[in-house]
Amino acid sequence: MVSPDGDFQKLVYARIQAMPEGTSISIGDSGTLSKSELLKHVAEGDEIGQKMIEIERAFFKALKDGSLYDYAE
Amino acid sequence: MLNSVLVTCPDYDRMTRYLSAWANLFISEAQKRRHVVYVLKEKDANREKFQGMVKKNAPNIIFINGHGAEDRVAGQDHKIIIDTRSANILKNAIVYAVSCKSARMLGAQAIKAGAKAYIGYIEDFILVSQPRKTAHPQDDTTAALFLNPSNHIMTSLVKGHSAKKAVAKGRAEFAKSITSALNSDVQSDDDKYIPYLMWDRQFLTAC
Repeated sequence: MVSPDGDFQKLVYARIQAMPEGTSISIGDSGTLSKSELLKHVAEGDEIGQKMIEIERAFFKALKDGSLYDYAE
Repeated sequence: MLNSVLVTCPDYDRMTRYLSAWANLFISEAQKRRHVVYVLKEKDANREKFQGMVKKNAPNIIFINGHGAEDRVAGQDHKIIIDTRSANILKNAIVYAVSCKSARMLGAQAIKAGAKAYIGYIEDFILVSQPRKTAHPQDDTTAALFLNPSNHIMTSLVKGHSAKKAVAKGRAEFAKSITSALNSDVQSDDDKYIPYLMWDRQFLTAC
């Protein structure tokens, strides 16, 4: 497996690693991906990996600017 | 107010299995409340039956579950059930599509063709689930964080709420899921799924 490159990519990789073993994520036409498959995509930085990074980036942005708590009631 | 609702329930992979299982929860509830519900399950979730059912019964609400793209939504086995070229059959209906990206082009085309509203997602719809629950998707509490809000949109529509209000209700329910995940105990992993709940909430829209 290619090592994650870039700090944020590494962070996303680590966050997925922290998910329970059984977790699956369905992303559009890409199908349902296991944790190990997700890690591979993030490490390789392909289209699915980039999508995961985009999702996590939006989350951290919301955490940083406080808008995360606008989502919560 | 009693409605006539058409629901598509393809079931050929994990995503469609889950969408259909949760659509069935809505169907049971709607039937209890005496709404007329037409269901296209598995192989019946195809373009011909969908178009025939719409033309024959003119449902005022259409609930489409399936894989999608900007210009289409699929039924069983990934075969297109509705696309921008056939969007005219959605005329006069309120549509909710649990599908990736279809609110971008198909939604806009449906409105142009006379649909009263098209609720969907302008980005990929993300679903997190637990494989050990595959046999009983409705018991998957992780998937519930995502699919309960989705079902609330339909519940809101059959109550006669506007598409705008139904989307607001859906977003509020996603917010409840986020709050629940934020406040989950240390043994729960739900907090790890907040980015994906935020994503679905953000890209839920009404055309």
